[in-house]
Order: sequence, then C-alpha cells, then structure tokens
Amino acid sequence: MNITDNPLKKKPNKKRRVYRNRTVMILSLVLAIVLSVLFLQEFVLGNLNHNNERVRGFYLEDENSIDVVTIGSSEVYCAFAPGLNYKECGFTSYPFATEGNTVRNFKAMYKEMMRTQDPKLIVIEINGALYSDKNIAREANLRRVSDNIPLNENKVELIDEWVTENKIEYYAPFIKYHGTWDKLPTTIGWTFTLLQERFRGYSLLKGVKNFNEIYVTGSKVYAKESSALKVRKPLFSEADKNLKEFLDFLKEEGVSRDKILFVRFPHVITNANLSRYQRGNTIGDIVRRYGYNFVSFEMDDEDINLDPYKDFYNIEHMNIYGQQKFSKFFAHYLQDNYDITPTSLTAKQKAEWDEAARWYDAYAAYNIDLIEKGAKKREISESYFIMQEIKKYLK
Amino acid sequence: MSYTSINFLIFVTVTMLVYFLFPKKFKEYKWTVLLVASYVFYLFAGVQYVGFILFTTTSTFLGALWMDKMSRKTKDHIREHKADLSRDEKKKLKERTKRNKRLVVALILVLNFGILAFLKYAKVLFMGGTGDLLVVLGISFYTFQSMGYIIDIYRDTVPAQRNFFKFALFVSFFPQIVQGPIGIYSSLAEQLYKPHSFDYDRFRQGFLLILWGLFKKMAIADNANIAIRTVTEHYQAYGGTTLLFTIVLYAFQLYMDFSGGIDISRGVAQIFGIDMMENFRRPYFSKDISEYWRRWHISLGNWFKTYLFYPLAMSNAFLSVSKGIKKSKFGATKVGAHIAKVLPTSFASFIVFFMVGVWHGANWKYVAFGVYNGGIIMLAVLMKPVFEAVLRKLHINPDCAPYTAFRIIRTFILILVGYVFDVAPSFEESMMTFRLIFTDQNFKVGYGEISELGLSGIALGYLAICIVFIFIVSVIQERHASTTIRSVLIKKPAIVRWGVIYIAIMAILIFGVYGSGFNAADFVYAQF
Repeated sequence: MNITDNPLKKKPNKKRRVYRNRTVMILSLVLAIVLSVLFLQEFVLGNLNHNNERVRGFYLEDENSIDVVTIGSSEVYCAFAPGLNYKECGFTSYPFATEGNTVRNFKAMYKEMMRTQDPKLIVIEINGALYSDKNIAREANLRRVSDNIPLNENKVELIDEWVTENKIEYYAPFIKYHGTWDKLPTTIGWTFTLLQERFRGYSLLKGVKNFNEIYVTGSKVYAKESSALKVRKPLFSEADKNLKEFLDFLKEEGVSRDKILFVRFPHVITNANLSRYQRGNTIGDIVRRYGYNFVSFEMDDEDINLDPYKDFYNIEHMNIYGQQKFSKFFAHYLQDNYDITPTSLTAKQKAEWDEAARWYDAYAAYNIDLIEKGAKKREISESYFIMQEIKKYLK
Repeated sequence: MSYTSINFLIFVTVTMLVYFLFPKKFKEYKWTVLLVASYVFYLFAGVQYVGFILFTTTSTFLGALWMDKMSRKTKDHIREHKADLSRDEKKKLKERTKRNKRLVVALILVLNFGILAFLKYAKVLFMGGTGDLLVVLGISFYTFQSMGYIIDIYRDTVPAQRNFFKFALFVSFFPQIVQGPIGIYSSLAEQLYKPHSFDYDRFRQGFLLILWGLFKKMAIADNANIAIRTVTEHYQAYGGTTLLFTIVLYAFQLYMDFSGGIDISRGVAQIFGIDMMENFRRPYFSKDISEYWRRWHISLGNWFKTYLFYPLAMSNAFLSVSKGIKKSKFGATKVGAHIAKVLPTSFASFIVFFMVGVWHGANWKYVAFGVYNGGIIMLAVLMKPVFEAVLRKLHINPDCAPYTAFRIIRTFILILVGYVFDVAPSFEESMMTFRLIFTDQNFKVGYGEISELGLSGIALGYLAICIVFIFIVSVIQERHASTTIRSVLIKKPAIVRWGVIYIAIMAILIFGVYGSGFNAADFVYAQF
C-alpha cells in the first residue's frame, strides 16, 4: 500500500492545508489593506494640492541634475520659474518650496536637498523667518513639508524636533487625512497629476504656480527712498531662534558664502506689510553677521522693471507678468554673480528640460490669456484639469 | 481605552493570545486571564475608579454569601429538627429568614444604587451645578448587573458564588463593562468560568461582528455626530427645520452608536467563547412603543422587567387596587373590568419608565423622557378596547400590510418625539424644539443651516446611502430572524468572504472618524 493512502496520514495533511490556506489568505488580506492604504495616502486621501506635487516633483528629478535650488515659501514658486530660467540661461533649477514654509523646516529641507542633489548654488528666500511664533508653530506649515519627505532620518529628525502630539500621524498621514474623502471632487485632479507624474518620472511645470489676477493696491506704495524702509524691526522670538539655529547649522556643515545666497523676493510694500519689510532688514543683518550674502529685491524695481500695479496678484505674490520679469532677471543675476556652469545633461534629461521650457511658455500664454480675457480667478498650477487647458497653448 | 481604538485592538489580541495559549494543565484557571484583562482594561480608564467597582463587587459578594448562609442555616435547622418543628414553626422560621434576607438585600441595594444616585444627582442637588459628579466607567452597567445577582440570591434562583475572584470577573468582564449588555448571572457566569478553546468558526463570527460594529459606530454614527454636536453646542441658533433634521439624524446616530458598540462587545466575547445576549432587534420596525422597548436595549428592559416591573405589578398594593376596582360598581362595567385588569401592569410600566428616565441623569428632560414613554405605554394599554373598536368601525384588518406600515411609521414618529428630550440640552429647550418644529419650518433657511453643520453635501449623501443600506440589511434580518448575515457569508466562496472583509475594513479606515483630523465621539451610552 502506498503511504499516501494511509488514512492516519491523510487527516493531518488536510488540516495542514487548511491552516496554510488560512495563513495565506490572512497575509494576503493584510498585504492588500496595507498596499491600499499606502496608495490612498500617496495619491488620493493625502490632503493633496500643489505643495505635494512640487515637493514630490523635486524628488523625481535625477540625482545631481539641478544647478540651483531655491528653498522658501509661496513667494518662491510664484516668482521663480525653472522652465524659463533654463530657456534663458541654460541652467536647471527647482523651487523646493511650500506654502507657509517656515524657517523651522529649512534644516531638514537643506539636508534632503543635499541628499539628492549637488547644486552649485542654494538660494534661501527668507519669508519663512518673518512669521509670528503662532504661525511658525502651525501644524499645516510643518506638514506641507514633512508629509512629502520620504521616510528617512531627516524626516524622523524633523518630526522629533517639532512634533509633540500625534507623532504617528506624521509618519502615517492617512490617519489624519482619511476624512478628506468628501473633498475628492476637488482633489481628484491632483490624484491624476501625481499618478501621471510618478509614471512619467518628472514634473512638467517644475512647481510654478500663480493666479490669473492683477492686484492694484489702494494704499500708498512705499518708494525706495522712504526712511521707513531703513528701520530694523526685531524678529519674533521663535523665528529669531530658528533662523540662528539654521545659520549655525550651515556653519557647522561648512557651507561657504559662494554656495548659498539669502534673498528677499519682490513684494508690493504698503503699510500692511511694512513691518515684514523692516524685519527683513534685520534678517539681512543677521545673515551678513554669519558671513553669508543677503540680497533684497523688494525695492529694486528699476533694475527688474517691476510694476507694483500690474505685476502682482496680491501684496505678497507676483503674477505671471511679474514672474516672467523677475525670473529672467534673477537667472541672469545668479549667472553674473555666481559660478553656475550648467550641468551637462544626458539626452534624456535635456529632452525633459526642453519639454519643461515649452510647458512653461504654454503656462505663461494661458495665464496671460486668462488675465486679458478677465476670466474668473483660478489657481494655475500643474493640476490635471488645468494642464488640459495649458496643453492647448503648447507650441 | 475606547473599543474603537488601536490600543483596544492590541489589548484584545494580547488577551486572546494569553487566554488561548494558557497551559492545558491549569485550564480550570483560564478565567483568571479574563479577570486580569478586565481589571487592566478598567485601570486604563483611571485608577481612581477602581475603588467604586471593588466596593460593588465586595459588598455584593459578601451580601450574597450572608444571605446564602442564612438560607442554608435555616434549611439545615429545619432538616435537623424536622420531627420537632411544627408546620407553623417551620413557616415562621422561613419567614424570619426571608425578612432578614430582605434587610440584607435592601442594604446592598441602597448602598450601591445610593452611590449611583449620589454620583448622578449630588452635583445638581447639593452643589448647584449640572451633570454627573463623577463619570465612573460602566458604573450603571455593573451596578445593574450586580444588583440583579443579589436579587437572584435573595429569591434563591441562583446559588451564591463562593469565589470572590470569579464573582469579580462576572462584575467586571471587559467587553461589556462600558455599555452592557447587562448580563444575567445564571446565563453569563458559567460561560465566563468555563475554559474555552480556540474555535476558528467562533473567531470568524466574532470578528465579523466586531467589524460590523466598528463600521456602524465609526463610519456611520460618528460622522452623523459631527452635525448633531454642532447643533447641540449652539442649540438656540437653529430653526425648526434644522432641529427636525437633527432629531431624525439623532435617531439613526444613536442606534448605530449604541448597537455598534454592543456588536463590538458581543463580537469580542464571542471570540472568547462567551455568548452575550442580543441588545437590539431592529427597534425602528416596532409597531408600538411597548414593542420598541422590547427591541431597544433589551438587557436593560429585561432587567427592569425582572427586578422592578413584575415585583410592582404583582405587589399586594397594586393587586389590591385592581381588586378594589373589580369589586366596585365601576368594575362591573366593561370599561371598569378592563381597567381593573390592566391597571397594575400599566401603572407598573409607568413607574418603570419613570425610573428609566431618572436613571439617565439629573435633568428634567430625562424625567420628561421617562414620563412620556411610560405615559404612552400606559395610555395604549388602557385605551386598547377603544382603539380596537375604532378599527372594527373603520373595517381595518389590524394584520394587513398597509396598517402594519402605518403602525411602524406612527411608532417611529412617537420615538422621535421622545428623542427631542434626549437631544435638547434642557427641558426648556426641548419644549422650544417642539414649538419651533411646528411653527418654524423654512426649507430654504434649513437647507442653509444644514449645509453648515460640519458635513459637506457629499458627506450627507454618504449618510443617506448608509441609512438606505442599514434599512435593507435590517429588512433582510427581520425576514430571516433565525439566521444571521454572518453565517450566510461564512458559507460563501473564499473570494466573496475575504472580499467582503477587505471592503469592510477599508470602509472603516476611510469613512471612520478617528485621528486628530476628527474629535472621535465617545459611545453615547458610556456616559450613563
């Protein structure tokens, strides 16, 4: 008789098979749930907006392929256009910036940037050090950065340093954002964008964003010569502390003054933001004390030819007209004052950057067209549905 | 530790592992795992509460032993002196024992219900504040459960538990401590002490029940609660349409919250081999208020029926009133005979519901809630011949489907009226709600207000779909009451079974209210 025919042997085998099947099913279920949650967290229920796209787009850039990286907040991506810079001066750049980005995040962002890129110049827009203590501690300002940094020691350090409650939610943002399912109709465009971008492997607009509006202030705009612009106002305590910590860190890292540039991008200066301007002066002093360069472009209108009544969409941010003028000016400024020899790109990288330049032109044309037509205010960024419109302007 | 938290999930998993891996050699002590787990669970709520549960456990345990000793002593004495004692002497001896036992049971009841009443009423009566003096986790539920036991001992229906720790487990069993169901000693205790082995089928059934409960609580009730909480926090700011909407939503939310919690409790217990009683049987399909209370919070209803309603209805005082009416001239009439027959039960019902209202908390709105429910039941019983006569006159068959549907809708409306007392922050505001519901209906204003209650249009649509889904499930359950959807699902092919589990878990993860993006709501009944 064959041993497999033994009825005594058959039962344990059957039992074992049942156990094995159950184990496989349970493990498959767990795996399916984990993968589903990760997918949803990354592409669907992650409180998605232009910030996610821009930061993730940065990580999609090939290693050591970016010549200039600008760290900062919303001023950066409204003013700094990598596609245009590339077309103008041939160097690659990226706005590693998020809305409301504070000086607290700068260290982690710097480390992340250095982990993935070896830029010839790092530009720091100092808006993040102008915030009040309350603004600096705002959860959203941290999360826009931390949610998009891949899990690594820099992310852990950032969270450990600034988060005291619900830490787990910073590692698993799904816990916090799963309830945004009812906002899916408004965020689904970002789902498509992020998926497309991930499969494509690079961003098309390189993080730029504007609104199709022209801001005309009713208040007095300060002139360059105004004595009020010479005043130095102290920073808020947290900002002051965090800025100095960041500068100490740069010193410890041995970052030289020809590798980093602190800047203040243009604004319309009225009484509403005069104190911010004056705090900007103080930041300039602090930065220079540490031996780094600081340049304010806020009142440099004559060189840039910025029109405070046409080139902004609000008091803080430039519109497409301002962006085109300033970005071109700034690209040349960097080339003239710093050693930015464009990285030699591979054929694939070059094709991608040529494509980015074409997309930027289409983005600008679409934006200007909307302004000229007096169309309803809309956010113009790399969202899927907006890109369908921009596509029509591609040449 | 909330039943819907990750901590609870980990806690149950660890308890399960320890329980089912307990050495076979010591299997008669397996129940100690449940006892330790129950006290660990209780300690998570706060060390300061343990004194209360220990007092109830100890006083009830000792009181029961004391009464048991009295009974045995009397029995032994009668047995030993069987020949010497006359029938009258034996009777007197038994009566004396009964009297002494009554004193003991009264003492235990006064002490324990006294604590409950003190915590619920002291702040209002002596400090001029509102709300409970201290919300002790599960105090109502373990007090009712323990007092049921002591009354059973008094009635000699169950033997006294002689092991303090076993009794402590009966009082504190963690899946039911927060909001019931209130267990009966005769059906629950032995299940707790019996060593259960792991049973995959029981595990599956229990797991599915937990999932169902989590879905009802986290993905439905807590979403609805976002709107309800917004209204209750700014009650005076809303018009009649919004208040009516809130009351209807509350009916749904409360049912999902409470029954969801009970499903989790029963599911966890089932995994450990313990069957806890069903606490809800689709209450909104009730055809009258009495039936509703037989389908809603069944264990509490049973408790009141066993330990308050019957003793009242069968008491000499009530029966003598009934007899008095019967003997009177009025009792000779048809109406009088009916009233004499039903008065003890209807009046006992009224008192029971009055007590249910009082138990809910120190607020006139709860008293009104009790009086309203008790009053309707009393009226329904007393007026039954009149209603029957009207039906006959109108040639309506009381069993026909349209009339049944009418009764269900009518009862649901009556339930909603009762919920007004529950939702409104005070009795005065509940009266205001009634006034506004009848006099301030403005769809446009209501639509505007409802859209700003913290739920988007999509979220409201989702809740509407959930209501339809729960309705369909309830109709299926109602038609096939002898079987459960879980047992049907378990027989389906693996792909269907596992697919449903996957969908259920994902639905809880996506639609559930948890994390700092929300303020997850506590179980509504945990506060009582």
